[in-house]
Amino acid sequence: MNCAETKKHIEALADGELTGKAKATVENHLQICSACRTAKEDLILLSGFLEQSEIAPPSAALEKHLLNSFRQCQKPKNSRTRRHIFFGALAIPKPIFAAFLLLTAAMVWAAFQIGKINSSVVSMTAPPIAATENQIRTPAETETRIVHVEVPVVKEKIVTRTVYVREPAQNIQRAKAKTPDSPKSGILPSYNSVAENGYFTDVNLRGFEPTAEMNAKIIKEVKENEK
Amino acid sequence: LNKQIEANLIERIIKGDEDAFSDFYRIYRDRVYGFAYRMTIDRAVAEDITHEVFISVIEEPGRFESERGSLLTFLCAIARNKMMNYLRLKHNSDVGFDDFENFDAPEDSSQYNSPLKILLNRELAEQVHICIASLPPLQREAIILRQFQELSYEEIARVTETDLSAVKARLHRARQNLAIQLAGYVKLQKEKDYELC
Repeated sequence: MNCAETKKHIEALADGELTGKAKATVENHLQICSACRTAKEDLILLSGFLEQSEIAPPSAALEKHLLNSFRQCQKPKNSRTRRHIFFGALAIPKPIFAAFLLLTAAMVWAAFQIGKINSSVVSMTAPPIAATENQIRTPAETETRIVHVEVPVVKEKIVTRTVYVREPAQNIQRAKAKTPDSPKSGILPSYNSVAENGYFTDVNLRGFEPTAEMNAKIIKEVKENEK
Repeated sequence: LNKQIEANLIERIIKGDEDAFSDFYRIYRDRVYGFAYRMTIDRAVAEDITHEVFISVIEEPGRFESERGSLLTFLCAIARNKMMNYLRLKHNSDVGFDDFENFDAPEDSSQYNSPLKILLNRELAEQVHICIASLPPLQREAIILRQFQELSYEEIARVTETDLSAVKARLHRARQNLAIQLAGYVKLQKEKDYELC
């Protein structure tokens, strides 16, 4: 390595940025070249001068001010979190807040239970069977009669179910003539709305909540009646 | 400080630990202030910049990512941005740091060549400050970050958002300029050393 190349690397060497083979090469050259050695010494001397330029630290007021800023920055964060999560804008005592939470939970539970009962009743209302068929009349044109039937007990909860049955006219006429006032079981005996090709019969099942099997049975029976 | 300690320090600051912030300030105060003062040669401005740098950390301590570099590099990068804004305002124009590359040295730089006279009037340290301040900003920040902040070339490149070759070139030019301005002192020091030998 010649002097020109070495001088390119002298600064890096002085700054500790030179490593490995390059460092060894430059150091070897410095051992044999006084001019490059002088250049390196000048560089070190210059660094020494620069290091003498110590400066006084900033004023103590700056530290105080920054610490205050740090506290200010932390305060709103903590208080805001506490207020919003637990007590809102007002400072409510903990026991009152806890009682309020319990009461709210109880009300939600009660509302949920009531809603569950209602929804089960609604779900038991069966849709009109073959409602898309043209022969079926609108419910407004039919007569309604309540039929009491017995269904298997699943839960001790009384529900009302309305089933729409479609039958040929002659069967209906026959069934109507034979219909007792309060049938013990089944859905066929209660017909009160007759038409030429078909009709609606509203059958109210007043008893205990039927199972899914019962629903299937009703539908099946209805389909058989259609035939 | 190693990366782990730096990361812990920042984590504690994020959690609101005042002692951690106090330690953090004491560790980095002189470095940040020194960088700002040597760049601006104005105590008030340097304090303002130092204040702004630490406020940035207070407001968003999570911005520091230890895997991207040291905490000092992070602080120097913030300080540099603040100083860039300051220099833009000072020069009353929308110019970037790069526009200051070819600033001329002060006209009265001849005074630096008469060291005996200067020694009578001013402290050597102050003269060094002035010499550094007379450098173009890009050379100035490179020499300050290397000489006083003791950053590696790679860290300087990261702070100044440039490449290694540019850092080396700036450092070289800065040292050349300083050597010319401080030639009298260097000569005097050499004579002293010779007499001692």
